[in-house]
Amino acid sequence: MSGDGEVYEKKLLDRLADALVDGLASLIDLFLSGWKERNRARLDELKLTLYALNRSPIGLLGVVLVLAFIIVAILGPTLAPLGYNDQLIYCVTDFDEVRLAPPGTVVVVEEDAICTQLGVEPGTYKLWLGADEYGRDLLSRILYGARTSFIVVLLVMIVGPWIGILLGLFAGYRGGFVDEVIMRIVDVFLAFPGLILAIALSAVLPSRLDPIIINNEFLLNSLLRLFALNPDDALPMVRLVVVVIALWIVWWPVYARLVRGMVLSARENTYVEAARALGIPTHSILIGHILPNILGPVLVYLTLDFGAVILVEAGLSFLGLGAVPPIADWGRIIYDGAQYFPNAWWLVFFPGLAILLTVLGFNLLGDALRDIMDPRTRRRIEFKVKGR
Amino acid sequence: MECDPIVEVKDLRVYFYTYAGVVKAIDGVSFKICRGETYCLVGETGCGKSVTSRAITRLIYPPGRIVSGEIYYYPEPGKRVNIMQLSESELRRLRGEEISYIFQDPSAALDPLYVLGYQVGETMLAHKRVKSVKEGMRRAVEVLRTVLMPDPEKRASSYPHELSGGMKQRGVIGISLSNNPKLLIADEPTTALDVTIQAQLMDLLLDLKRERGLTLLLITHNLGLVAEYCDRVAVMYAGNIVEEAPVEELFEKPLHPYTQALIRAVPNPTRRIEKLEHIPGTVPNLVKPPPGCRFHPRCPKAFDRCRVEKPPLKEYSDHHKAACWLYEE
Amino acid sequence: MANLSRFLVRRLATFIPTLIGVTFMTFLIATVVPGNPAKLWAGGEKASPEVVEQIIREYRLDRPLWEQYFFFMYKLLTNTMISPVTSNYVWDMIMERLPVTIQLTLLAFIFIIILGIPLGIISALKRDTIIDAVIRIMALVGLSVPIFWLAYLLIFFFFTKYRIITLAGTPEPPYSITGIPLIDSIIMLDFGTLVDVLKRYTIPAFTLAYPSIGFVARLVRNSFLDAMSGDYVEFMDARGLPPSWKYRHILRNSFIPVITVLGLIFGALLTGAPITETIFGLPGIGKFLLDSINNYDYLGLMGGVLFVGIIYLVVNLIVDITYAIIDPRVRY
Repeated sequence: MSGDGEVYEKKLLDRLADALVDGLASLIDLFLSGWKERNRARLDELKLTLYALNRSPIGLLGVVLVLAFIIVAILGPTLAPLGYNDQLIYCVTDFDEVRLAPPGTVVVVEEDAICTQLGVEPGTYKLWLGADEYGRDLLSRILYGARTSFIVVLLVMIVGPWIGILLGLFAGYRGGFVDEVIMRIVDVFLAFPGLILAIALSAVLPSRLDPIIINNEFLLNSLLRLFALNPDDALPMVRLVVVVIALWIVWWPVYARLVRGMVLSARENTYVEAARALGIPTHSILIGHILPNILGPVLVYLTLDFGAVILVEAGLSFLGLGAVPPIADWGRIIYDGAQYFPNAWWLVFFPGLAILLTVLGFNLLGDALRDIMDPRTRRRIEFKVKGR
Repeated sequence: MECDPIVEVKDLRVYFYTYAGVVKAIDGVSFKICRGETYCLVGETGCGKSVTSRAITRLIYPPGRIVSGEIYYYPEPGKRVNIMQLSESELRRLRGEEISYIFQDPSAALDPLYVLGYQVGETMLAHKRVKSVKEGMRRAVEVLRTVLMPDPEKRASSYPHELSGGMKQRGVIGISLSNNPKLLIADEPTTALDVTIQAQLMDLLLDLKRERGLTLLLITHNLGLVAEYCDRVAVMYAGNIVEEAPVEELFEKPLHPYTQALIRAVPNPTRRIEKLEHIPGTVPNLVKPPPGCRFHPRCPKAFDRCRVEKPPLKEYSDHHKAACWLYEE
Repeated sequence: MANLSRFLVRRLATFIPTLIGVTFMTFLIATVVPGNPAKLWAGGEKASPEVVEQIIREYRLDRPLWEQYFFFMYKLLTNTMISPVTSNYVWDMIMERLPVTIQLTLLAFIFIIILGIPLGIISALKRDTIIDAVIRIMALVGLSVPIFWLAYLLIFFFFTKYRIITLAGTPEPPYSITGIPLIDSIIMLDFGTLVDVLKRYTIPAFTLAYPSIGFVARLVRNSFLDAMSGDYVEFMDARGLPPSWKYRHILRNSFIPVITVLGLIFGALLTGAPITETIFGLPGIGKFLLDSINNYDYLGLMGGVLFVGIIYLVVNLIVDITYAIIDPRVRY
């Protein structure tokens, strides 16, 4: 029955999606001429996915939360009224005025030598979400924390899963002994619950990795800029880098197993057999023919795992194994604030809420995408019951 | 040849209510199946032949709905059952006991978690042919023997995944015939199977039909099967029957341009042909079907009337009906 | 059944190399990766050379890696390995922590089952309604909630505000049958202790269960709907099976993935809950790992990680075998 383009009446968001996809495609087309035409079918499929997403309230809410997180992560450090380590207790006469100040407290910072040295401009500050035991503005720390989370998750996701994806592609395609060896190694890694492996690795890796990272000036400086940290905080930052590496080790095996399974079934497809019969080399079959066709489900996993990585990173920091002071990290803020719980409840409540909303965004988006990508529900989206 | 009907369908409409709009999958279909014959529904994928066959026992799931129409079943000459008015439990009795189905894909039709014998047995138990599942499973072996299942004792205790496609379909036929129905509806029964097994299974169906005096409704897109096994044929296009005729008549003197095109599109082993013809255009969108005759956008002989007015299915010669304005004058 | 035993042989053939891999990886994590373990065990930078020397000799850290590996595994598995930090047998330290983890696991598992399965079935039956959407969002919130945050909210409500629960000590009855107070108190009909146990463990168990409840609900919903939309359901209608029989087929089909996942969740729970145990001050396996890390007790860490890996592997094995028993398709 009907399954063609007429299924959807285009709305504003759909036209936006069209423009986005066409724009991007044209951009790529500038560099690789003919690309747009060659990938016409795939682009149409992508548009259909976006249309379906536009019709999923859950997916749209996810998009909004994720975009909000990304914007805050990028602009947060600029928007923050104070620095992540501006300890206002040194800037006021009565330090109880700002120590653990509740949300909404207004602080007047006068011209003061120590304070200026710390980098706090004189002025009046409203601590919207309260302050911690050093009088640091919680709102600013949460904004900086978004950057920390974002960079960590980005660094984890652009490497970890892809190690798995490439190994999975390779193992699934080659089969035989190579496959067996890779999959047994995957089994070993998957024999440990992820969080426990992450804990153990974050605990033991620093003694090896710290010196290597600290001695790499270029790496250190680039990372400082990425994390929006003061140059003095290079040492505490190293611990975050170790967490990233630990999470690479934790996060590749699932993808290797997932992708290998998909490659095994994709191999049976006619288009792969045809490509092989034409004598196309292995790596171009893998990258050019198999990868694009399994990318959909992988994308769903990647989206969901953005949330999972944020959660695990926060968990590690909460256990004292991730970020260390004075870095602003959501998990660490809760860890440090918990000793004043429940009196200074805001130190636990707001960072937790930030984690919840961010992870929820990725989960909502991933869940909606899974619905859309699933061939069975995809059919259901096209044939949705109106009556009954 | 006088027709003693076993099933009569009048002006059936089945619509699917979807996002895309209302899909008019079956739009005013009427036909009669005569007792003891093999009646065929042919047409391209998506023309509504499967939906029609399922609608006979109201086996339509949401978003589909039987919007209107009358369906009668005649268990014996002169006795009439109005299927549209049956209750759920009466329908359940009818299905499997009076009218049985065989579906296209036997792998999907069987529950993978139960052995074949159990599934035969429970069908018999559901219609009170046996007193317990245990007895049913014993009787299942006999049932499987009648469908020529190799090694029926062993196969009765096999899980579906342990059987070949042909064996699974034999199992499905066994289940369907276990309660001695009068009408068997076979929906593309051999499409999912190897060509070599197709003929075996069709012969089995024909033998069983002859032995038991069954009536067979065969749904297929394969004109070869039609020519070989059918008595009367209805050609469906986009939710309508466009032509109905005895099988020889249909192949010799097809009236409807669609039927003609369909027959031309099949290689004929007795005639040398230069080039196979295909039917230009595609099956129409059933949300907004073309006005008038649904075939007119693809019809080489279409004229003005075809574009506005829908032709009725009319008898033009003995038992030969067609829905086409070409023959109106 | 012949198929089943063939399946078992094949499954064990992958189990044993994986198990060996797990021991090897544990060894790597605890001794090779940290660089200079002897120095750390001796107390880091301020360690006296003599002590370091002694540790190196005693734990054969000067020997080739493979020899160290066999030495460690042999000592750990025969429970003759003594932690240089705590001066206790490593395996004993783990076993001491096990009852807490088991009680948490049992209670959390009960929460997951009594909440997750019914919510999933309701969701499936009310598919595409408000109820379904609410359960779906709740499930996704459950997967997104940082459980340390949830834990503090629950502590605030149940402890700070209403004092329903306790947060210190672990109830120990004077008798011991299984060594697990929760089970022992039920066997002995000692409701005083049982109430104490429940007061101490219920909220941590709920915290621990929370993400899985939603996950299981979603899974039950989806597999129920999958099973309901299978073509075999249409054929069951076509052969006139009564609805109750139909639902038996559907339930059995839909519960296969659920049982598998429940098994895996149980296994994961048994490996300890570092975050929950830390917040609620419960000395379980997860807390043991963290304590070992904080004390630089790498042998404790090695023992703990090994224990966790083995438990998880064995539970996985059991789940796979169960799966093969209930789903004939698996044992091809």
